[in-house]
Amino acid sequence: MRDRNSKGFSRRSVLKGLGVAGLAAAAPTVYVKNAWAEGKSISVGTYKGTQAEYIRQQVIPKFESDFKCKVSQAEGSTLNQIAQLRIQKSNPVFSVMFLDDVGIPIARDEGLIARLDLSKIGNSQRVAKRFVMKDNYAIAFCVSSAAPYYNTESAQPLTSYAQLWSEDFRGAFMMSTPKQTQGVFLPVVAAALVTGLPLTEAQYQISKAWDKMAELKPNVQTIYESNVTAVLQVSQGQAKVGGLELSKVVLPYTTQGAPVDLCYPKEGIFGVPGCMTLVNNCPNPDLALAFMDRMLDPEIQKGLAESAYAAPTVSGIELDPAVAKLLPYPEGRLDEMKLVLLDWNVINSQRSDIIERTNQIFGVRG
Amino acid sequence: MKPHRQPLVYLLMTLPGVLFLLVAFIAPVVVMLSSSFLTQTSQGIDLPITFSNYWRVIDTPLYGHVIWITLRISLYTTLLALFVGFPIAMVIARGGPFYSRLAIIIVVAPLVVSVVIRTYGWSLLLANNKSGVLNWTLAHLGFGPIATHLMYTETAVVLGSLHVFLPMMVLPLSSAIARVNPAVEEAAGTLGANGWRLLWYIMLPLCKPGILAGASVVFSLTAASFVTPAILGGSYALMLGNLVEQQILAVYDWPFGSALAVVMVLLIYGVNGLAGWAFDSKHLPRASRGLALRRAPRLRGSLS
Repeated sequence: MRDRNSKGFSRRSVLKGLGVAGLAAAAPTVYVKNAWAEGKSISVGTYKGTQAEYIRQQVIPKFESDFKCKVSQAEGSTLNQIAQLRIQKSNPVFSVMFLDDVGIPIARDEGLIARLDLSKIGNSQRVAKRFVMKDNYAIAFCVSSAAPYYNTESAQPLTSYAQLWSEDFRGAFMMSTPKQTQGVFLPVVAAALVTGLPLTEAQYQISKAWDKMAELKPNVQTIYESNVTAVLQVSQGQAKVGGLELSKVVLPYTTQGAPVDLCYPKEGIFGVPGCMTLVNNCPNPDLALAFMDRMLDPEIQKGLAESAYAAPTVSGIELDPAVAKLLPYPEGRLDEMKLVLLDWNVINSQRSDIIERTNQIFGVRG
Repeated sequence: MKPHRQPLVYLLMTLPGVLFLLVAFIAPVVVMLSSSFLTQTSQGIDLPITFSNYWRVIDTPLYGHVIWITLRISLYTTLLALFVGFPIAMVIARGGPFYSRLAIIIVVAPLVVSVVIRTYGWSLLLANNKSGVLNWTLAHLGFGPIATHLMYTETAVVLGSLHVFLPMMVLPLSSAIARVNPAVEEAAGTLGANGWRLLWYIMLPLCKPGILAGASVVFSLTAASFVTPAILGGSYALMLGNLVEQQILAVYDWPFGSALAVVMVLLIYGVNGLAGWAFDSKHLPRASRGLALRRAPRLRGSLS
């Protein structure tokens, strides 16, 4: 008689194995993966630049193929994206909208975005907690740093923000517009220089920044809106320094050999989580959540980070060492790189004043 | 067709266009006008009715400055377009089939290229660095490595606008020139008028409707433009169109953006109306009226 505890094959285990194998072989004929999504379509509002290009070429075609669906992509910046959501509030066209963390409180308070059902975004379990934001209204898929950038052939990297005001940069500084997230950081820097406070505290003292900003005027060649164009212009010698600008805009050109690079001033640089939001009452929300899940897929996260130089928010990604040293990743490096995350509830309430003050100072030559 | 039915036919013929304009132009203008007297709240545009948006335009020096820049850039562009466009229009109207067609192609060809692309083209030409085409050329002519800093100036916006809107001046001008009877020019020449006299005293007064039409279109389009000043002007050549976009999209202050847009429209209509009134011969000073005939008595005699 055979020992019951022996590890040999029993008739039952063989039959069970055959049954499982048979079901697995038959599965494709009775179950079509993601059949629920077939024929559906969503519109996704992404950021611009290299990251948008990666999504267009690497993410969307595979997602469309896997889900037999259609994804339309439109590119924009946070405030423009919010403007679109406002216009389409009663009849949304977009399902997924990418917004910087600055835009989340605005969009949430105006009812433009909906709370995310994280149970339908499996990869959200891998996302660091601080990047599931504003009570589940947004989930970050990348973190860019924002810093000044410079032409490596005609200037030295800034070691302190105070150098931006030096005579070396007369008419040679291209400043980012406060209409975009990264354009709000410079008044915070000016407030820090005036008050002597660290950047994290100076953000509450922006009202003290404006005389210092006015002193910057002789150095400002222009205020730009197209960040990709501005980075190229600085790399071509149109100006010596620019910014502040996002790493995902500057570093792709740096690594391709353009004479432009980010500076890392001693006072620290800023962090900008790039978030995905679900548009309120949007078409095909389940497909939208599936798209978000795909964006958080480790393979996509690695590809996005290495092509657009924005840190992943998902843990356990093995990045190319050359890229890894440039990014605030893993999460612990956020503090190591002195990455400042602003309190947007405070900044947003002053946003129109920041834009108006900037216009008043820099809208008149001389 | 019976004559009494003609008004009905005309009405039916114009109905699609009128309906289109009602929906696409007049309704938005009414909304814009009413918004400009309302207040922006966190939930949207709401009561109370207020004049504060217009008061803000008047009271803030920045906006007066931007209005002045807008007027200046539009005026310079219009005058340059007239100066550059008149000879081209003469060639189109009087140059014979070959040169006429060639000139039309040269003038109209840029219209098939997007304004954004053309404007980015100008930013390459005028770039403030040694690789800018203008600076590169001047450097090779011995003017130093970076001879000009035209980018982000009003001059750059005028040049870009001139390129974009020149056809709008040339086409009505050439049409007006073509309507001038060549016998008039021949008569003036026969009676001793040289080229300048012919241009100044005969052609310009007779082409006044074309000049006014072209100038009106170029001025209006330049004053309302957005892309060219945004790319070529930067922060130091802000125009009203840029401020409207900024207030509506970035600041989310529709009422104030609407007030700025209303000011822009009034400004454009105002300048056009003023120009029309000023060029109307009834309002011209006696010295400017009928210059050609008064200063060339022999010609007056021959034409009467």
